[in-house]
Amino acid sequence: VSLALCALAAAALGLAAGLRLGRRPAAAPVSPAPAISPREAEEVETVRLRVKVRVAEEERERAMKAENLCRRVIDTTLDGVALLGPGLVIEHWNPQAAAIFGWSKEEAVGEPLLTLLVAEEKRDELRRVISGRARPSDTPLFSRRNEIRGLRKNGQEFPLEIAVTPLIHPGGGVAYSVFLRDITERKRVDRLKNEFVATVSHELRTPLTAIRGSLRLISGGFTGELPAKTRTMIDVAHESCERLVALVNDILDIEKIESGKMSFDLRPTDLGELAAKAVRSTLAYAAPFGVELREAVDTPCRALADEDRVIQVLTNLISNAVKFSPRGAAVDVRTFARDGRARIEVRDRGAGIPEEFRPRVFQKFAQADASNGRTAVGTGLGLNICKAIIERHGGSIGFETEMGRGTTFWFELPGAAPRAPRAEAEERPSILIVERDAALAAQLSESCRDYGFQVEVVASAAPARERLAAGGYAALVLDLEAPEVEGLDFLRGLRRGASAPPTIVLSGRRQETGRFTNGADHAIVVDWLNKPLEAARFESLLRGLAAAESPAAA
Amino acid sequence: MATTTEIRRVLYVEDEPSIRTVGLFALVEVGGFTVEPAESGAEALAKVGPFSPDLVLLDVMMPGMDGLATYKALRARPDGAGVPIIFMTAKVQPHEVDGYRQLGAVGVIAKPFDPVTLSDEIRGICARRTS
Repeated sequence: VSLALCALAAAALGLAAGLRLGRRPAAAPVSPAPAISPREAEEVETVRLRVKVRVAEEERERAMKAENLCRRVIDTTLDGVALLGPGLVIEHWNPQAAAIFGWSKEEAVGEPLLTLLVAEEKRDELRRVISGRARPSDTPLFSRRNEIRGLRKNGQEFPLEIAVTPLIHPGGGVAYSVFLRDITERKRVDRLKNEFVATVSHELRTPLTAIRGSLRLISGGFTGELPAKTRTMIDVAHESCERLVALVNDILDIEKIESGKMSFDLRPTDLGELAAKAVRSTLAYAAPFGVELREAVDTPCRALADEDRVIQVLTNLISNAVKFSPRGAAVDVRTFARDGRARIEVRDRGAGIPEEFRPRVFQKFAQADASNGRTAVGTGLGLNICKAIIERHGGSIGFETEMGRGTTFWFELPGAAPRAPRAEAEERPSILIVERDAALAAQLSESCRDYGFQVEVVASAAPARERLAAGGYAALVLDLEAPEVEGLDFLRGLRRGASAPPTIVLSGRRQETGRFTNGADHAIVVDWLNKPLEAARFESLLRGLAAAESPAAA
Repeated sequence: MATTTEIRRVLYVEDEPSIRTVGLFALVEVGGFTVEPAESGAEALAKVGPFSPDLVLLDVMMPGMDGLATYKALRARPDGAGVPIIFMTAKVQPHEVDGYRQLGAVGVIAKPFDPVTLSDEIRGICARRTS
């Protein structure tokens, strides 16, 4: 019996295994089963059930082992790992995360703690990005490594690398895996390396200055006439020395920017003027290349900028454009406003940037060969420095390129900051501008922003009425020549409603002033400006409005 | 008030020998100045009386007594108080230049200087001052 049982048990095991794999048990060859008594059948059934249970247990054990293994991997990894469940509540917190931040597993699990782990200035942004309410200006977070300032339980800040990846939560909804790395040591090594480079560069500078000065005096003929062969060699030495000096200066610039030692003197600056200055200072460089420099200001725009640094960027972009231009071509420098930001473009008609080089354009020591056979002369650091400078201005830089057609490098800077900065954009008072002329609208907006106002621009009367009906504007700037405004009727219509804010009227027709002020409804009109815009008067009105809006005045 | 043509005698204070050699050549051979070199702030103080310069050209970064300390010491002496001083410095960030001017320097020349144009630059600074 026991033998038969064993055979049956084996068959049952095979059956269970077959079932588990979703296969039908093999049908043949099966020897005809011997007749068994009901008691034996019961015993067989019991064994079969036991086997089934054991298989299930084994399976569960295997799954648990696998899960334990995963958990051990997570718990022994040298990175901090957190799992955020729905509601951004921490569901898992590994020992390394506890070691990095000082919050124990017991303290962390069950808490929506993540935003406490980063320095305060990034907290709102992180909260927005994780909960899917990111603003366009927020740094993308998911599925990449980000460097931010971390915050330990004891209040100490440290450089933190964070990688957040969305997952489907087993219980439904979205979960997030969060990998956290304390990169204090990496940063320290980086700093040491940078300091070393800076020290070496500084030490190089003194002898280089002497070499350059001597060569300059010799090649300038101040030490007497040179034999032709000597002159050739001196010229080679002089040129190479200039390149070396440029390289050392660029390395020092980068070190200064990266270590935060480069101070930026940001003031509201006319970018068109900067572009003109940069073009003037590059004319002499462009002449031997036979390249024409053209400069245009489409919309006058101002931005908060360090004049010298932005000129450094422009000079770099323009001389690059010249270097990669065919003889006789033009390089265009255009200044204009776009989406509330000031933008300068430098366009060349060169060969374009090859596809494979594009991702490396802004990297250090990246250099493409000039297509016209000239070897590109430069340090390979220029665009890296440009990017760093523009980013320190809170701006962005990029390029568009087409093979055979040319390349346009551009950068954008945020408009001049409000003179009375307010913490929350939502709290800033708004001005509605009714103006169909885009350039004038841009100029008006720029000035309003300068004085701390948010701006909405509409081109005609209908949308203006809609917005005014919603109310909440600190002021209205109304061009009487905007479509559907029909002179003073629009104003009179406003007067009858309750929602009319203080209004600044723009008009190209002087005589209307008299007609209007004779009316009884001048109460809402603060002032009446002629076109072309009397900018100084407009700004003084804004100053008054801003003072009235500021909390200090209340 | 002094005019530019009266700048003839320059006390040139620079600790780095190679730079001093180039600078001396630029001032004497290219610029035609009469120049007394000094290797340190202390030497400058010792020479300012006997040499009686029309101008002191003063390096900022020097070991021991640096340019600013030398400036103050010169200003505190009767024989150095009235002499115009131009700083030479590699730190040419705008606010630093303003700082030197506010201190009373007549000008700042950026290092590394161009030896061919150095003398013109000096004469230009002094001319702007007297105009």
